[in-house]
Amino acid sequence: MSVIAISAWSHCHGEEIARRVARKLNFRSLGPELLGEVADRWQLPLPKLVAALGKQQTLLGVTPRERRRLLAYLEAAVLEKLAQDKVVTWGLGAHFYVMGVSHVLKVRLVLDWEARVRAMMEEGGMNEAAAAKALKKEDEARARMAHEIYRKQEDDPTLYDLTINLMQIDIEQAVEIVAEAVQHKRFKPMTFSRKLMKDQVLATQVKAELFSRHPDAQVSADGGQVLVTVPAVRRDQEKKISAVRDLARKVKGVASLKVEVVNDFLEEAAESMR
Amino acid sequence: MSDTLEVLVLDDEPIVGKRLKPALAKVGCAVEVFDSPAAALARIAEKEFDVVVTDIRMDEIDGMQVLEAVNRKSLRTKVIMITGYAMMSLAREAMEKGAFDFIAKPFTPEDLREVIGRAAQALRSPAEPPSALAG
Amino acid sequence: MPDDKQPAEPERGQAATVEGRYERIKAAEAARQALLTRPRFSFRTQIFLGFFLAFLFSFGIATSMVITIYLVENKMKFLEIASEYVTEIQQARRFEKNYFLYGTNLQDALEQVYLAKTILEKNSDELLRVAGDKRDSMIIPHLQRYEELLKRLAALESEPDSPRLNQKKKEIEMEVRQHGQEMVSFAQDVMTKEKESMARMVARSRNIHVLSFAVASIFMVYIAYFLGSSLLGTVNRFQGYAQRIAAGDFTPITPIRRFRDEFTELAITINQMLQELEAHEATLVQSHKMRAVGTLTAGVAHELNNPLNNITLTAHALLEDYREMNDDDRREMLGDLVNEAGRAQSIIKNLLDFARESGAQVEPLDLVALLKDTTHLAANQIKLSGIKMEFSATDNLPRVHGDAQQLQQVFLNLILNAMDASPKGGKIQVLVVPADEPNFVAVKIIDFGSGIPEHILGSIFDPFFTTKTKGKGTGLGLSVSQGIVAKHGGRIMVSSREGQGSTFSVVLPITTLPARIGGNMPRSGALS
Repeated sequence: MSVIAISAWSHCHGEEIARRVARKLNFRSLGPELLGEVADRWQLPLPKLVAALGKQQTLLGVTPRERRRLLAYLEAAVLEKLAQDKVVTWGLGAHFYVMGVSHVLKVRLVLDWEARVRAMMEEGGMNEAAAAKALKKEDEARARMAHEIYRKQEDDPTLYDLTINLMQIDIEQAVEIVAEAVQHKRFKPMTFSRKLMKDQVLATQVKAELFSRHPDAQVSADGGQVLVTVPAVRRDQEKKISAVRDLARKVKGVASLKVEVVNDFLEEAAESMR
Repeated sequence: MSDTLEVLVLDDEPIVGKRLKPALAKVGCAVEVFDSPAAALARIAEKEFDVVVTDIRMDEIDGMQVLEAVNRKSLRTKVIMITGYAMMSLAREAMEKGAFDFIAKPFTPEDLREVIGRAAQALRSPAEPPSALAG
Repeated sequence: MPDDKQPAEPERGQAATVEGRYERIKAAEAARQALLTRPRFSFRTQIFLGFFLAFLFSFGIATSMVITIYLVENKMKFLEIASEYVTEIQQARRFEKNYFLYGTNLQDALEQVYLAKTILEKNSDELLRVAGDKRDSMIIPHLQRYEELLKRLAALESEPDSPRLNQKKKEIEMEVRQHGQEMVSFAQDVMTKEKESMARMVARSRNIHVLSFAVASIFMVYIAYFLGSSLLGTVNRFQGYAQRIAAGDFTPITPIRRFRDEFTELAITINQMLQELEAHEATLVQSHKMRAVGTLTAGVAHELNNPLNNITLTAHALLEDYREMNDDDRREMLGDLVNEAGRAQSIIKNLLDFARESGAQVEPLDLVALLKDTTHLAANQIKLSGIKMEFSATDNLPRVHGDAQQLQQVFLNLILNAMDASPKGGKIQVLVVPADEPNFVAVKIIDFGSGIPEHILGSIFDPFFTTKTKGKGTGLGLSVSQGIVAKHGGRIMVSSREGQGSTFSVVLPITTLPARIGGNMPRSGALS
């Protein structure tokens, strides 16, 4: 069966709708609770992982590199779950990395600013100004993340299959609409889309495995064939290739591996300056 | 239902038919190969196939029209779309129009056999969703 | 994960470009040298010199005036003295006459003579100048003689009883009168001469002034004309350059005059600017080409899947059934593999050939063949969008002179635009026909899409004008295309009707008049 990815700003009933759709369809709900699992599996600091998604900033914030690292692990974990089908995912940014997969129904929930501020006030017990300020800050952090990592504008409606305006349609009906929409034959999985998903899973897994040593590695997969492109200084290329090989081979599902090295001009230039 | 699966393969690339015919015959399919959509449509009108494998992007008549023609003839027939022009919108369109599966080129004979196996299973037990692989 | 590897740049293309750029740099450097090696004669110097000459001239006039005035003053002084002298002499003569007639005192006459003598002595230098050697030979002897005679008379007077007094008196009287007469007439003569000379001098000075005023006017007019025309001429020349550059001719400015001036620096700066402009234009054209390549890549990537699929299926068939096959089957399959690999290569090759950056190569071109290549290049994209393309051409069309790659870029751009404008399942017509005007060939690309609203028809060739959504178009396609076509001495025309489609016509001159790209191409005025 299909997968549903729900995207919404905070306080747009995203969690509620996702959980109810999951219950109605007998799908699994995959939300931020996965973050704990991811943190345990790769020994990552949970608050930073949350901050990397653009939610609840930590004191020191997250550097772009750290963010890419944390999200590489998160993507690997989320895609692994999505590949099992019958999942409703929300709050994990999944809609960004399953863009091209046809059996994922991408839904965007829209709620107007005042309603979100009210929800924030109730939840956090703060006054209107403080709630608005906090909400604005969070939206901005998430928009930054979306641009920095995925080069996308999260609230661009053309990214989604379905956009539901919750000012006009109540939650009950929104749940029905989403549950009904995903039944359409066009969202059925097929060899083509499953393969895309599998390739994506494998690529992110290899990338996560490589990240701590080779953060600049680009990974793509095509039916078990994995291509890693990694920058290296010319004289280190042999070493780098075998290092990447040793790491990437550990990932299950890698049938064949090709490592391509591109000249690291920056590093070479930096070395020649020394 | 007999064990032989009646399969029609349509692709305007003649090599596709040439290679798929023996590859599918191996697993007990009776394969008819066409590289002209018009001729294939004529044949489809005559005979109810179990499985139709068709390319999408062809001159004159495209695969979607073949899919519709097959559906008009028999809803039982499983149509597998193969295309080099695989895109999300095209894949979704094909599925919505009732394709059984959608495969992007290039694929291996084994890939197709797997899908045809699933189609065969679906033909045997139409109520059950095709999940396990057979081949 | 997406793999953002850039395709390697083909080396041949780079070399050609580098060579082309080197040629341009060399031309610019030659122009710079030619501009700089001339002797410097700046407008500042010219203006300074002009004013200096004018100053010298007026200074000369002023000096001559001062001198004339000084001379006239002198003459007048001298005339005064002369008239005083004449008065004294006349006075002396009156006393002398009285003496002779009435026997009055002679002492008074002597006194006058003495006064006249002092005047003469005082002004002897001036007298010398006016009278010359007559001073010593005539005036002074006369006066001395006169004085002597008077003295003798006085002496005679003091001895009244001397013999023959009267006779002696008579003799002296004769002589005295003669000398007196001559003295007066001579002095008057000198005075008249001096008066005449003064009148001449005044007249001459007047003439000089009138003349120098006339000469000064002519001189001023000449300087104004000379400076003005050389300045304005240069400004006009640069205006011409600006027009030429605006029309897309980027050949460097070469020296025309023998001297360097302030405009030389301007010319050098413009030449530098031209180099930059040319580089930028090349970059713009190239980057626009790469956008077209990007658009075509999607089609090519998909089209590539067909031969790849044939290769995959054949290779797997070989792997699976190698043992059961006979040699002929194997050979056939291997042949298929080779063919399909070749086909894959040719699919990419077209695009790579087009993408390759090359220096401008102008040659006689067969437009029909070029258009066939172009439609072939766009074929995958056309297939992808489900649009039909109809191609027709008049036989035996004359060739045009141009750069195949650049013109291909223009046609491709127009075809891709037409595709964007066409509805799904629509069609595009490409025609290569003789143009309405003689010696021109027209390429018409006709779509049956939405058409262009009349109010924007006038601005579609403007840079950055686009009707496409943000991120889809740069708005430079038609502008770049028009630039390329203009360089070939042709132009792009458009006619469109809303709801019925548009026709873009590219008109290019045939080879009878070879247009050097970027050189002396016909101005648009000649064509429109």
